[in-house]
Amino acid sequence: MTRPTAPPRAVYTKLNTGKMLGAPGDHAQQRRVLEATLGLLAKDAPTPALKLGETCD
Amino acid sequence: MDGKKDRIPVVENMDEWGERFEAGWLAYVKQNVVGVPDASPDWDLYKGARNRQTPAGKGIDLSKSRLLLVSSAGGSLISANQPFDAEHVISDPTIRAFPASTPLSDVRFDHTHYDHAAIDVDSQVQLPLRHLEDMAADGTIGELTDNVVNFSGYQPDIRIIANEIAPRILDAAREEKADAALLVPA
Repeated sequence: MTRPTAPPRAVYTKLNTGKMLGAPGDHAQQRRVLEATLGLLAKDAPTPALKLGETCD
Repeated sequence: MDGKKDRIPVVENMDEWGERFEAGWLAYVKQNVVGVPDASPDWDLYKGARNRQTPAGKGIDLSKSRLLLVSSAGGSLISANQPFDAEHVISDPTIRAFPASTPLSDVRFDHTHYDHAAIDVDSQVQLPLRHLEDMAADGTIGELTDNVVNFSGYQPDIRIIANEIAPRILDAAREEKADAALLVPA
């Protein structure tokens, strides 16, 4: 849904809706996703979308 | 977060998109869903928006910036806020703002169009207030705004997002004197 709207900064993961930042209780994963996402704010936009390999069951 | 320079539309060709939406998805909903128990929209009729232009903007030094968290998970304060009308078939276009320091146990999530299994166990999978506090404490972020902004992310009518919800969020961002915003979608 996000990609066709051409946002200036965006992050894509394989995490599902309802757990966008990671697995419940996995605070290290949640923090990794957050830090990577916020890192985009340091870059001039538009910047290529960031694809993270983060997953959870 | 001036938002006035080089402004481009939230959705290009909004009028054309609106005509398709009204003739397709919305017409079906009005005829077959509104007032009909257990009826659902026909999502095969739903066509998303497509932009060719992307807004431009300078990067910021996050360690010196004031960050606003925006969540579409439908969070509201159990003790003080009206719940979102999450079951409305078209939209609840309202927002809720509550202190970023709120204990997560004081927040309920009204948006019903995603699986709540994870958020029921650990709200930070969608509303990472404690993580952001930690990042402010360790200097990764300059500071958090006083309040976090919430809306209910089931919003099939993009015109409502562009014309009602986004302006409310932008007003809130200005009131909070935010330098940047992070949207965690749901």
